[in-house]
Amino acid sequence: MTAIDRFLDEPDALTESELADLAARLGHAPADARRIKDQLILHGLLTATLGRFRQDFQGRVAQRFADEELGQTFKARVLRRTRQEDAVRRKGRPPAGGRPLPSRVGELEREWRRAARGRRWGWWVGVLAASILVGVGLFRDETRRRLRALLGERAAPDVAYVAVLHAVSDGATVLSRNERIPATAGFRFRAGDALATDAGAGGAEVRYGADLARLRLAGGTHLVFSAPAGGAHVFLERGGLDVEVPRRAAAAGAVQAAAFGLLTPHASLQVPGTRFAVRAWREVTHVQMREGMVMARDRRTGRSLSLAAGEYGVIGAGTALVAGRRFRHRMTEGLQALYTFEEQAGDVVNDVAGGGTPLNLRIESQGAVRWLAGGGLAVDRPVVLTSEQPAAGLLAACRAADAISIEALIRPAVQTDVTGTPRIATCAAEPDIHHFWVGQADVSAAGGAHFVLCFGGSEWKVMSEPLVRPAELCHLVFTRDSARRTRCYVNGRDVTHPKLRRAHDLRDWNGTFGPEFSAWLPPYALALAGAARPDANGRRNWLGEYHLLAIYNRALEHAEVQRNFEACRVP
Amino acid sequence: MPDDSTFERILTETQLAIRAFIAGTGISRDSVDDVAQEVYVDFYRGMAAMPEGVLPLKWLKGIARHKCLDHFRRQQRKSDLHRRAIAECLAQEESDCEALLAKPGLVAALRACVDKLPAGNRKLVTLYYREENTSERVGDLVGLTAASVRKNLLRIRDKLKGCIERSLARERTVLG
Repeated sequence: MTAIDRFLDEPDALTESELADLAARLGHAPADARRIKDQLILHGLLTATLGRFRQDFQGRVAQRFADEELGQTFKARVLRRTRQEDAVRRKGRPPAGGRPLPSRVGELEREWRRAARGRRWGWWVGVLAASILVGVGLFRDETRRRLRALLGERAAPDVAYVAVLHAVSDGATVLSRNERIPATAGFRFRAGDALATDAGAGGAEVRYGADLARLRLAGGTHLVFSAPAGGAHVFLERGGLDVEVPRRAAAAGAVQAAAFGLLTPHASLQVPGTRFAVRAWREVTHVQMREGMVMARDRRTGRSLSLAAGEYGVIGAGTALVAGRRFRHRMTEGLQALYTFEEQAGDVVNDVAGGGTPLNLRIESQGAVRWLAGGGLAVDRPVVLTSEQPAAGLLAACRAADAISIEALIRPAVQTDVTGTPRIATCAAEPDIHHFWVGQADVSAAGGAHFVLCFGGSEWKVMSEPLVRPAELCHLVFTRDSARRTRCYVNGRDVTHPKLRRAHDLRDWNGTFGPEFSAWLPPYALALAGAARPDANGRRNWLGEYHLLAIYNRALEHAEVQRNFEACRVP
Repeated sequence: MPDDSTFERILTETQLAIRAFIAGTGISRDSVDDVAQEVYVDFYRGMAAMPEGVLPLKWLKGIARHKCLDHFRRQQRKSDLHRRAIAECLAQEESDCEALLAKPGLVAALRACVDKLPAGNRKLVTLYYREENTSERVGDLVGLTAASVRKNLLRIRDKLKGCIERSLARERTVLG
């Protein structure tokens, strides 16, 4: 019974053996299955009907369509329909066809009606006041300003505003009391209102409360505002948010009172005073700390994390991870993917960069790797870590900037029986069909190792001097800027080989040298420790320890490389 | 080219039933709406392929069933097989509440039944469903253990089921 209760409450919380028992029981007892299904369906109905963050499902489908460039007119139709229904509500008649509206619970409904009555009353007062003022010829600028202030105050009596839209770009929409209106600077939000910014467009900036927090929304973000009295002040349903909560002078003894609360589908955050960025993706919430600290709680498991400056938090999809503790104060500008290998368990390496949809890596065989105490992943036997989806966002960002930096903190193992160049990281269909790869040549106990960067488009190879010895921890950075200058740094030193070598002695069509991004290849998955698929010579497996891997869409300067190298010095 | 207005009408009429149906396969409430969005995206893309005479709700349920199994597959956990087996078992059974999903007036009946609950039960429903707190958090707020909250919610859902069935039956009799 307890397992069934818990399954109804949170299906993901059951252990494997409990799930196995439940599956067996349901298979043999159809009556139990029907009873549980009844409970689950009611659970879903109650959540969808009453959940304060579950309203406007159609709006979210419209947003999803916009993201996937489907149904160009659908979004406009949803807007129009919502307005029509709103008009019908105001007249007190049921909507067309007698269909029940997907509306809030009774309490919210009553609140909405009170506000609507207030708006109607305010409207008549406004008309009367305007008529009088026009009639006596006092309609000057100053008077207009006062009239606006008067109307604004009377438009919604007894309604507390929780936030103000400070700045906004085109395409953002406010959802207020079942009404969608284009967002304009100065709009004041009440509890229950929402702000949605268009994907691909600019964002918006909101001031919450009496300077309690500054929120900068990225494109494609959906944010719902709540009353300050509740535990959470805003709900970030999806998208990205830069948050700045000023520290308060009196906060020393009253941190809780000054704390700002933020909720995402996966996490709840308590923010005493700090600067951080939070991104809510479909699967996980990602928190990137800049200053101060944040208390984060996994909403599903209840596990709490304390995040400090320079750290990253990944919460959701069965993960509650603090990353970046080993490597603080690194360069973050242009960061597209970051793996710090601090999971300590499991078969997923989380992308904690927070710059786009996380490009998590899955370990194809856990028996071939070891999580290292204190951080890091040792690849003891041939295995490949592959991203769950193609690295489309990463490649697009690098192509757009026409630049890339690939950084790795690794400890190469001795590999004697090697065919080809083992791949440390690659974005490839097969070893030789690729966008780029970073490999390690001449990996033997006796000699040093070259590091090699290779681009698929022009088959350029950029090599380091042969100075790295196996079993030494090594900080490696390859950079390529928009002028096609390519550098290689090892342990903070520029060790670019004096002779940049091309695989084929051919000039590019335009007569210039330098590696190019392939424009014609489809995006492939990112893979570590080998290529995702083998060719005739296998998958070019690399063995050793990974401690960090980062990819930027810009060429890091030498000083920046040195800063990252200093940050990567493992105690 | 799919007809946007037809799609919009179908979405309006079926979204609640589909979200509840997805929840009925054992997907966690945090993921239900995401899966439902995927269902409607797929439905829109394949609207032209829907045979004439097939009810959209039935067609959507078919898509939803596949999407739910896909969802478990994507999770790639060790327990993936058990979860899919449970989802299959649940999907095969036609429950009383599933039959209610196609009935008009369901939402109104549900809301009326929630309003009729005793104050203590209504508080639990509000804290758990409206505020979307975990059972642990609700327990903290009302002074119960998480297990007691879960038990109470189980009983409340049973009560609501009976109330909704009676309410819809009465409506049919009156209209009748």
